[in-house]
Amino acid sequence: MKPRHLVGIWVLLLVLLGVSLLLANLGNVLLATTLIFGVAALKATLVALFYMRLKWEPGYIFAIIFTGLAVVLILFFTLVPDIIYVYGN
Amino acid sequence: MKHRLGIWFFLGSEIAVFGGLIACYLLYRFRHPEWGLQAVHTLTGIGAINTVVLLTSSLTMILAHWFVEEDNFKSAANYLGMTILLGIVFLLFKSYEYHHEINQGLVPTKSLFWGFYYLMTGLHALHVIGGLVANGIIWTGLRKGFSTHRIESVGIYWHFVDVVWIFLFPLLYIASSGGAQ
Repeated sequence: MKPRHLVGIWVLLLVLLGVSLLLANLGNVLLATTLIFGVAALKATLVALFYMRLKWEPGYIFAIIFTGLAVVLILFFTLVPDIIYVYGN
Repeated sequence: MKHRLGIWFFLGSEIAVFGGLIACYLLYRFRHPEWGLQAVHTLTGIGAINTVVLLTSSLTMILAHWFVEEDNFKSAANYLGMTILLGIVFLLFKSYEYHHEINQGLVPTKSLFWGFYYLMTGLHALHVIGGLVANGIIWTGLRKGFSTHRIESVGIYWHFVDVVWIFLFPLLYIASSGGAQ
């Protein structure tokens, strides 16, 4: 990628940051939180694909990343029963 | 390729560390909606400025890498120098935040929310410091005119630290203020 493309992605990231800050003022809490994390996921994807060059990496690099994410998901779902049964409904 | 594989294995474990913390935070947050009232005391403005600082440092980092590939080590050193400066600016703002919060009695033992806040932002700040040390080593090499592909590995690490902050910012600052409590 040429520097102008990299600068373009940076501008897009800053615009998305502005959008996140505006979304915080939405009246609907659930909708606001969902959209804010959606925008954060989009920003992270842009950084990972173009700055970390994941777009051009072979499949086994993705396998390493998804293994890490799988560990997090396992941790999350194994903790859910604790949260429900220890803290109540 | 070996160095890229190595850094990605390392980051795979880092995803589990930060992801685990974020997962625990989210689970507790679901159970404690009142954390929103505590979280409004975080300095959202400074958090936003720090997000801009880190995103900009990611840009200067990737530009430094681009110039290394063009064999233009002088420009690469300049951009890497900017990345280091921006990393220091991030830490200075973070220190100001800690100073402000601790002065208000918002210490890690104040509540579980503040415990998570200091743990997650503190661990992230340690990663920034680690990145600064690595960047400094590469910067010294570039200033001496050494071609080094290690800048790619250090860059991937630096961008990862940026990605972590991209999630920490809404978790601890934005989603806690205004209407999104």
